[in-house]
Amino acid sequence: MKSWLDKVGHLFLLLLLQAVAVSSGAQVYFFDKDEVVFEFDSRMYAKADADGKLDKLDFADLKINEVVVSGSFNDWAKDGWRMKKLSRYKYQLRKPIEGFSDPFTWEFKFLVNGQYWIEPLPGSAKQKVLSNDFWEDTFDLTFNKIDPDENGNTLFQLEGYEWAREIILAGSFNNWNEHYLKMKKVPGGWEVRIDLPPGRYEYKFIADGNWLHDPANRNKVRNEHNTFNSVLQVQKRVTFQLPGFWDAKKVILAGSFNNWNEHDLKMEHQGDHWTLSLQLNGGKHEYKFIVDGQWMTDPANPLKQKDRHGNVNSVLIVR
Amino acid sequence: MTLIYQYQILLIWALLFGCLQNGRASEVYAPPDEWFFSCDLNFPLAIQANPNTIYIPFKLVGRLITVEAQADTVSGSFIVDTGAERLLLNKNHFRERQLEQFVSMGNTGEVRAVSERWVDSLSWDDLLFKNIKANVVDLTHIEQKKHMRLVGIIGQNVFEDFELFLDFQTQQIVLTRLDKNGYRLDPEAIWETPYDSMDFKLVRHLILIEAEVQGRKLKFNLDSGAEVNLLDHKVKRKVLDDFEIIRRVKMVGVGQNEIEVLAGVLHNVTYSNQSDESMRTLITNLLQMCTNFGTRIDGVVGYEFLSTRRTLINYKRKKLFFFRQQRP
Repeated sequence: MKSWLDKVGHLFLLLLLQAVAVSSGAQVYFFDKDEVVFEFDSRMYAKADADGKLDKLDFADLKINEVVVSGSFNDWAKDGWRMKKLSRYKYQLRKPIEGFSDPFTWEFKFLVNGQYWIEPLPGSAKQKVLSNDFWEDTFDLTFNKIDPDENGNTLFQLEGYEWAREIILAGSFNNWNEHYLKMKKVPGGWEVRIDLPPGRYEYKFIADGNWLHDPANRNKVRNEHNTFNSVLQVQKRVTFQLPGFWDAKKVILAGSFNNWNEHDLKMEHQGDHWTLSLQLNGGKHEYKFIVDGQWMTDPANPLKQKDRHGNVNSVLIVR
Repeated sequence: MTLIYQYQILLIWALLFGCLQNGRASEVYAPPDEWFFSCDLNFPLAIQANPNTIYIPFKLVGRLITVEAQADTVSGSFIVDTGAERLLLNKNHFRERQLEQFVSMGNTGEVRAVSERWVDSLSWDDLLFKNIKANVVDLTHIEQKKHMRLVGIIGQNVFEDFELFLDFQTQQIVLTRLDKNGYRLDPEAIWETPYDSMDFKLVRHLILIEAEVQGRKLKFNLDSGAEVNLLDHKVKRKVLDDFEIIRRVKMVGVGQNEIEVLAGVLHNVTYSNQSDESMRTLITNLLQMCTNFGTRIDGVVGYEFLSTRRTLINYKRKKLFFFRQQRP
């Protein structure tokens, strides 16, 4: 009975801690009016590094006596900028903002017990990922430049917006470049034709700087700005062939693309082989032939894979 | 003397813990595991040739290597980042999930067993990486910079037991499981023979290779998550003779603060038998990185290094292997 109570107590404690962890967020410092507020939450950090060495130490083994903010702004001083203990896990330090003159030297760490250096954030080299504009402005490099193509496989159309000076098509196919792919004004609206390899794409139109999703496309998803991106699947015609089996009565193609339906896709007998053409989405597909009720993999395709039931299927990558 | 003293303290604490074993947490008991949660990861677009090898197609978003993956029930794009220590999940997509999972774990059995489930090693079952330790962090800055929905970052704890082949030519990643000595368990995988190899040092999860510019030896971190090379501003003067400045730029760093960096091209970098004629590079302050890892790091090389080579990383033998571009 007692141990049952213990468990419930544990569960409650853990849930409570979890709630605190989520609500407190992972902010290391923030600005509050004229002050810079540093916050240290011991639960955020799994391991500490002893000064100068690479010894790892679990926080569970560490009794925290003091936490100090040490950075280039105070010459990595090991004392002085001591944090105030707010709760069992939380420490805080407030400093007036004028003290931080040089923005270049915003580098700091937490020093625990004068001995253990704690890195403020997981993966601190934030500069390693650059915005597309940065690439273009600095290195004159545009990703996936796509030009309008009269013979392209995909036509984008936008009705209306005839008042707009400029409509740009931006999408995952060109890394959402906001300037490059201009649409052409046609009677009643705008259009542009481009050539895209098979795959799933998200896109939007930009009318004089305003982003809008394609009103004519009902397929859309919510994006990171909590608005919508339109979704487009570019398909490719693929021909399946099975040579031989001239005396078979019926050959069926079944695969992940039609939910392994055993009747839907009848192959045609042409000359010395069975054949069928299909429009398929980009990406990975698994399939098999059913020759007079007998399932078999594609003898001409070396790519095979076991599914979770242990069946071996042929694999096709459409790209 | 101090050593004995420390041991005494440890002993006292051990005794204290013994007395408090009824589950009452003592003052020093800070539970880091609560910050992690374990999740299952699978790659819906990958091909599994056999239980030890998996082929994962990747796409470039800008110059980031991204794969489609599913962590528990959330699927989408993940960045493959050898610079990340472990699996990181974007809090924008996992906030509720995290709590939910926690509750469900509590319901399924003993709460105390939970931390034991959270093991670093991976088990393998039908394209599924099980019980991977993950952190939930805010990745909004990458989502905004790259205009993408980013579910997470796949770090070193996902692939440390595997050989990681980053093949830019076929745009796929091959993961093949290694035995404890660092040799492939999959005898059937048909592999080309590497034409060159290079040793590296592993400092925590970071791959450090030795490079040379203007006759000066430099320590570079090989980081597949770095779109651009970084070079520490305190690097030896002579090295900068081979740095061609394009412009001075202000960047927004962590927490909206502005930092100034020099953008340019670093020329004539050699690493044992390999060399790069020019690499797009930012000169910045890597001090924080150095102190974090207790070692001097002069720079970070990423896409610029990897995209021109077909590189295989073997964490167990601490070796890089290079393969020739195949002619079609």
